[in-house]
Amino acid sequence: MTQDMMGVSIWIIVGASVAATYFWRGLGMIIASRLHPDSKLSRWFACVAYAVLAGFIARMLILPEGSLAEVPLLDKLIPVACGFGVIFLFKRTSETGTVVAFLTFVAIALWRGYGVA
Amino acid sequence: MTESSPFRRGFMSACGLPALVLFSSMVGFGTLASEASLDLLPTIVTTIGIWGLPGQMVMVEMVAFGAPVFAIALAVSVANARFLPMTLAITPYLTNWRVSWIRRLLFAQLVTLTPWAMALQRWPSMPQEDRVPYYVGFSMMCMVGATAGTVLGHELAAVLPRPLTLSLVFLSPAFFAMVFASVRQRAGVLSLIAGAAMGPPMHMVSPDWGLPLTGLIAGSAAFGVDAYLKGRAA
Repeated sequence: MTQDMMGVSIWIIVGASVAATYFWRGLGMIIASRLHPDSKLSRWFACVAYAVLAGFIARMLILPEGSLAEVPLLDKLIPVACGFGVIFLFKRTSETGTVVAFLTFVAIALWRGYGVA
Repeated sequence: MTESSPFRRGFMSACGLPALVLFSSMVGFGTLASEASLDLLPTIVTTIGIWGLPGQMVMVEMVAFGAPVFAIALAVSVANARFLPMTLAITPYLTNWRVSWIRRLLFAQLVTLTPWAMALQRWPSMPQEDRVPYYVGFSMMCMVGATAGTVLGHELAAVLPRPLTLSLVFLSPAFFAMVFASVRQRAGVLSLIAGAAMGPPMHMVSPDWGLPLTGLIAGSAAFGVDAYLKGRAA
């Protein structure tokens, strides 16, 4: 493939991907614009969205895939458990929990020396 | 501008962890895009245009394989299908927003995880007329962080030390796990627990349909249990 063709086709790919993603947002806006937030239907939508996102986050943390694939399971679960501990036991905010989880992960990453050995 | 217009308050409240989370997750994306030899400009346009990391990742991976445009668009769409239930869940809070459809449809482009989670937490107690400007301000700050991360990842891919890049990748799922741990409303808590339990095994069964099915089954079950408990309490 010539440089020129690559240059043109990448914009077609980006445009098609943007449109393919926007489709869901536009559809959601059209369907739900007349709903009341306390209606049964919109509360069900919220439940489905929460479940999708929880499944998505759990997948990122538990399954060995993407950039975190090389990180052992425990090295991800211990920082998350520390963050939860700060939130549930010490009644701190989600921001504090995130900082604690992040710093725990950094400490473990440095201790293990990922990619260095 | 008044001292605390809702736009400005939203912008400032994202100026911290939310923008940092976008920044850190886009560093990884920028790196992947430069490895797939995408130029900087299409990489930035992808971040702002798709505005959803899983779809961006899928696009760049498939560009690297040289997949056809239609196949790429379809895979990106499947990877970002969660934007349907997410938009459905927050749009009802805008029922009384009296603007043209064009502005409504433009606003829909800003639905992505970080501001969405903020909206579900803060919109219910916010005056109707503040919701959209606050959200737009919040999103603008997130886009600043995301663009900075994309550029950094794209330009400095080879230089960043490994423990640092891994920590940056970890920040985003950790942040959302903590945000969701702060949800207190019963139907939400039930949905989160059921979804987290079902998500990984369902993904192993079907990488394409595992997540949408998790949402439908776990979300509906949680909704049903919550309705049943409400009925018993009444």
